[in-house]
Amino acid sequence: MSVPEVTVATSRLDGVAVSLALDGVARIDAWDAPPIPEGAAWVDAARLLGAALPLEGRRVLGLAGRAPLFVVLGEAVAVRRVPLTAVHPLPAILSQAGRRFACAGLLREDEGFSFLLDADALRAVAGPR
Amino acid sequence: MASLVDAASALRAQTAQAPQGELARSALLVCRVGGTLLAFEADKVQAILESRPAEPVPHTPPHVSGVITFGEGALAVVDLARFLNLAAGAPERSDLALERVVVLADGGLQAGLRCEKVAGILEHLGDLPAPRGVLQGERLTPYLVAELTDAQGVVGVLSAAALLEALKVKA
Repeated sequence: MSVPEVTVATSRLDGVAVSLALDGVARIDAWDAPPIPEGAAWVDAARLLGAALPLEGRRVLGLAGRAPLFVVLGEAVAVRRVPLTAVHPLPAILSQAGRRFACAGLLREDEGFSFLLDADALRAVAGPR
Repeated sequence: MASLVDAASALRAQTAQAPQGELARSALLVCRVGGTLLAFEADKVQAILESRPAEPVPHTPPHVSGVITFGEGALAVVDLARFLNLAAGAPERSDLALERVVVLADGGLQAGLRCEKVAGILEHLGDLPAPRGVLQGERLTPYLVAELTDAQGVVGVLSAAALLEALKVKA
């Protein structure tokens, strides 16, 4: 029996790896080509993690859905399929800390983890461009 | 390493099988934390791991080292000396090879507690003696449920439930 898989985009921001499930992804672009439309909801993932990084040179993930959302990730974004069994909840003592950066869980990587961000939670903290 | 885990498992089993009517037998895992000997009930200890770097977690206080893999999932690792504010009195940590992560679990909560070393297992017959005030510390005493003396010195027994509840990171 094959293990169900999920497609994720993973990027590093200030040494922290974050991943997003790509259900309904529209596109991955450079920060300024094409620009995020005026009035569209967007969120800087680095700021969410507590890091201050310039936007230039970074990649933007456009998510479709009820409302389009643009998430600014790091300078490189890797897209791959991972087994669903690689997804784990945050340890219970850290669940409230996870809410502060829209983290829904952990994705087990070859070495360590990346933090799996939740699109709905990101939409809740996104602001208009 | 495996021998300590095996010993802890064996003591857990002994504790569970203690016949009724006899003196209560406590099996405690003793660790050195910030130069202080602290102990936990062995049946709350799931494993003892070799210390390794943890993945830092954003928006957590400095005592949270991060997360590491544990079994099929993830384990939050805490620098216990830092959390209990015992680090100031600690001897130089010259032998990091002895450092261990004690996996403590109770009431649905679990954490890996980074300790300077695991000092051994202490068995105690009868009720655990209440703290006598030998061990001090604003951050330590709320979790202290007993104090014992063994060959290594005074051992403070901590409540796993109270400690794990306090380790929950608040939003």
